[in-house]
Order: sequence, then C-alpha cells, then structure tokens
Amino acid sequence: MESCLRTPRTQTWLLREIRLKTQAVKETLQFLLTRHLIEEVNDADGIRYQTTKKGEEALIKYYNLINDFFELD
Amino acid sequence: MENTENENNELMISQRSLLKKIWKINRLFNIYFQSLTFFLLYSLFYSGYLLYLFITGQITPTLSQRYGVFGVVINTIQVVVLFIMFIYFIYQNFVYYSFMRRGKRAIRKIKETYSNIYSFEYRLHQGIVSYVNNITNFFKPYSKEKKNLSDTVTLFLYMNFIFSLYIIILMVSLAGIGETTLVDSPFMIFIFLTTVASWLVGFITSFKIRKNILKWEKIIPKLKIWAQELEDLPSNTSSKSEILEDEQNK
Repeated sequence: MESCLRTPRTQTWLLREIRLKTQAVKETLQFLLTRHLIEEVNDADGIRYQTTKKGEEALIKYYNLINDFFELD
Repeated sequence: MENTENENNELMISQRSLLKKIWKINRLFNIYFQSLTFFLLYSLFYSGYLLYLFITGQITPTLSQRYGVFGVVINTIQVVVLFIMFIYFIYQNFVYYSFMRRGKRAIRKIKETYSNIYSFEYRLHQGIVSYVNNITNFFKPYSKEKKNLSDTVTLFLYMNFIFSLYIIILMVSLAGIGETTLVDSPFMIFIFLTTVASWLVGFITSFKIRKNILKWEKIIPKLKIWAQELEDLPSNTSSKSEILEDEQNK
C-alpha cells in the first residue's frame, strides 16, 4: 500500500522493489484489490496500482500505531 | 478535494513524526552493531598478533615459564576459550548483518523519496513500512508466550558484555608476558584502547536498547490486530482481478 501511495505502480515495479516471490506479490495485490485498499489504474503503459482512500486510512492507522510505541527514552 | 488534501496532510504528518523516531532508532542500532564489529575486528587483530608472536617464539607466556606444563595447559585453555568467543561474535555479526542490511535498504528507499532540503514541499515517503517490518520480523520469533522478548534480549546483551569483557581480560593477561611486553608497542596500545572503547560504547548503547525493547514488544500484538482488521474487511471476490485473468488467458 505504501509503495503505491505517491504514484501508481506496475506489477513489475512492485516485484522489483518489494523483493517477494511473484506469486506472493500477486496474492497480495489480489488481497488488497478485493478489499478496495488499492485500485487499478489503466493508462497507456498498461495496468498500474494506486492506493485508495480506504488504503490511506489503513496506513494512517498503521503509522499512528507505530508512532505510539516507537518512543525512545 | 478538501478531504483528499486533509487526508494527505494527515498521512504526511504521521509519516514525518514516525520518520524522526526511525532516524533515532536506526542510529542506536548502527552504533551498537558498529561497536560490536569494531570490537571483534580489533580484538581479532590483537589476538592474532599475539598468536603470531607465540608461534614464532618471540614471546613466552609467563604462566608456562612459572608453572611449566600446568601453565601451558592453562594458556591453551585460555586460547581455546578466546577462539570460541570469537566464533560467537562472528556468528552474531553474521546474523545481525542481514538485519542491518535490510534496515539500510529501507532507509535508502525513504531517503530517495525525501523532498529537496531547500524546498518546503511535503512528500509522501516510501520505505517506512519496510523498516518497521524488518524490526518486528526480527524480534517476532522471540516474542511468544514461552519466550519473553525482553528476557531474551537481556540475555543476549548480557552475554555480549561478559564475553567481550573476558576477551579484554585475556588480552591484558596475555600482554604482560615474558621479557617482552606488548605494553612497549604504541601501536598495540592503540589497538587495545580502541578495543576497550568499542566495548564501552556497545555496553552503554545496550542499556538503551534493552530499555526500549520492552516498549517495542507491545507493538507486535497490536500489528496482528491491525492485520486482522484488514483481513476482516468485506472483500469483493465476485470481480476477479485482471492479474489472475491474464494468467489464465496466457
């Protein structure tokens, strides 16, 4: 979700950056798509994936969760 | 439009707040593991040089001079124990090297998405989740009911402290040996002092790490709840993704 936040990404880009197996990336994309956390964006270069508002809300929750506990004494 | 901007701002604010903490945490881990690495390298060099002097007969241990065979046995045991401790530290460095490498990769990704330092443009960052996942995945195996994370970390840090202290004591006792002592060599004094300095830095940072691990341990179950909430979201399985359709058509 974070990788697709700023700009839509292709599957190839995600495979390269996230460094997971192809099947794992596909399953993750499928999981996020079916829950409307990311959406497909069609352009001239093909299909790209972009984080939806729902995905952004989930990320905000994640960041706030980590923020609360990542306190250094 | 306004809602989108507000959400973006909220995202940026939460990211920025987290980034500041990540830089501090990363610095703490870097200091600790660099001190561990330097300690290992310097003490290896020092001990290797000692061994060389022993083998070439340039120096003779005092114990074997005084106590004969018994002294030789004791010296041999000391060398074997030293060797085992080095293996322990080399193994640790090897294990934590991959942890540090993944952390560096995530930090590099975050820095790539940093806005120009001269502009006030805020940007959304990438790599924060990777960095946090690296830490939680590393500590997760130890955070179970039977194995308490803080106890495991305390034991690990305590063993580092004791083993490294023993290495230093051995280096001191082996240094004042026979007619020639390594105290006369400025270079070896320098190596010895840097070894002790690395040990001291590691010792101080280990307290800070241990103190904070207790807090960080609480993140792991919360993240599980967050992940569960995502799984529990209603899923639209009727509309299949084009990912799988394309695969089937190929």
